[in-house]
Amino acid sequence: MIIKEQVLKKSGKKLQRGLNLVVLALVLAGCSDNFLPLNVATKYLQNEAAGNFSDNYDWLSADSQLKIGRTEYATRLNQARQDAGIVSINIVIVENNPTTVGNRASVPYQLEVTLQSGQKIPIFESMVMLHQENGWRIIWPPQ
Amino acid sequence: MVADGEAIGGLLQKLTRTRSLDQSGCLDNQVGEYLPHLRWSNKLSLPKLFHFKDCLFVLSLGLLLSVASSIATAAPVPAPPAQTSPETADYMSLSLRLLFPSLPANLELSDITDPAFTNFTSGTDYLPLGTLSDPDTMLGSVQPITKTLSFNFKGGVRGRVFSNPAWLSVIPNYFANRNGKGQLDSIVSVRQDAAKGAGLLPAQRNWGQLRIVLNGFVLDYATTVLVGPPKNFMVDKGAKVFDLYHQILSQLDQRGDLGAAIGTQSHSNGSQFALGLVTDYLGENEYSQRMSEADFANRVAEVLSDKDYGGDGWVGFTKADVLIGAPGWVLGHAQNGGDTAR
Repeated sequence: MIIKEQVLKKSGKKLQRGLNLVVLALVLAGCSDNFLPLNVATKYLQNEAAGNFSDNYDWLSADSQLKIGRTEYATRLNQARQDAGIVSINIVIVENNPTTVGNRASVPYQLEVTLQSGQKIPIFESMVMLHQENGWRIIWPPQ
Repeated sequence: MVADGEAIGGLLQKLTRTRSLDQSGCLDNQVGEYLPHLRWSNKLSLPKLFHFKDCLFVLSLGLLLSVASSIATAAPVPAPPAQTSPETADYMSLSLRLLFPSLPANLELSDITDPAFTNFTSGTDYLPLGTLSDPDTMLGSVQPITKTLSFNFKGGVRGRVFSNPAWLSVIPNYFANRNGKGQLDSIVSVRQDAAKGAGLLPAQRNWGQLRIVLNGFVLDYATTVLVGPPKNFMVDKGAKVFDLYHQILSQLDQRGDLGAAIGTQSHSNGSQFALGLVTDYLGENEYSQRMSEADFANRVAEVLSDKDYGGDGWVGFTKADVLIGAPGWVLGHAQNGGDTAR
């Protein structure tokens, strides 16, 4: 009886370990998202418009993240927005047909930036992206 | 921006941002201070799904796989290049020497006392230069946007500041503090100079890069200037901008050069560069109605790919184009690299 319990315990442990490995594989697979460059650009610009720079840090490429820490990135960009006198950012269009060559992509977009003076500035820019193991990520600084 | 002497070993302890002159010419106070550094890791917390032993097992497995992979793909280490001239000695990294081959750096440090480097790590920081709502204000001798980078040194320091692209100017860009305490103020400004290929693109954030090298330590700054559209640019021309942009892409794609729209060595964000030229073209009334859209798209495609698509022996905008309104700082060049007038 005792031996049977031990065998059951052992096989239970093996089963649990196997399950854990499956869960880990799923977690790791989840790290690689399937967002297209257009989706990534839209999410990044939405965060930028809302001033959520810290969230945007997750969309930067690995190399870009090595260059600057999350706190510094968020603080500097927030300060830059204030220095430039930007009151609001409105996303006018994100081109739904990005240019993709190999593992690089470029997504053009138009923003409307409102300054403290009330002046509205149209902005036409493009975001350069790199396809990494975890999906499409943005190269920062962009130039 | 002020750097004080303790943290960089008496070289650079804190960097404090100071906007010396804002767009209206008023003196501002310091707006913040910081010590640039890199964060190499972020804390990661996972729910307690695994037993410690399991995690250890998986981690070991991962480590083994990673080591095996790196062994399999490791390339032989190339021998360091031979020094050709003591004038361009190892003070500058290989990448810097490749980037600025024409700049000799006499790095004789024998007359420099030892600096005390403490807790100094380099990385990229961000130095926004402000907003230029009207690009026409760049014309003339007035420099509306200026910031000051100040360094307080303690110990021997020899340094250089490099800037890119040409519209970003730093004066002085070479300095030395042989011993003791010293302070240096470098003025960072924006310039428009067609002869130097220096100009800003309208209706976008223009990005630049500063690289400060202090006794071999490298510190990078990303900079931006937000520039408004040309005076005559109508907001409802947005669709037209993208239409022209696609004409440029089409020109590149036909010749198998679409990659130039994403980035090249000379234009790291080709599409944004093209969009800036398009807004300039439309804001200048298609260069006084004297350049067709097809010709314009061809010129921009040539600039991005650095190739002569028209077969006229010239790459990009010609002198005649500049006379009718194309920006002088994007003047092209003869296909063979000469400067034959066109």
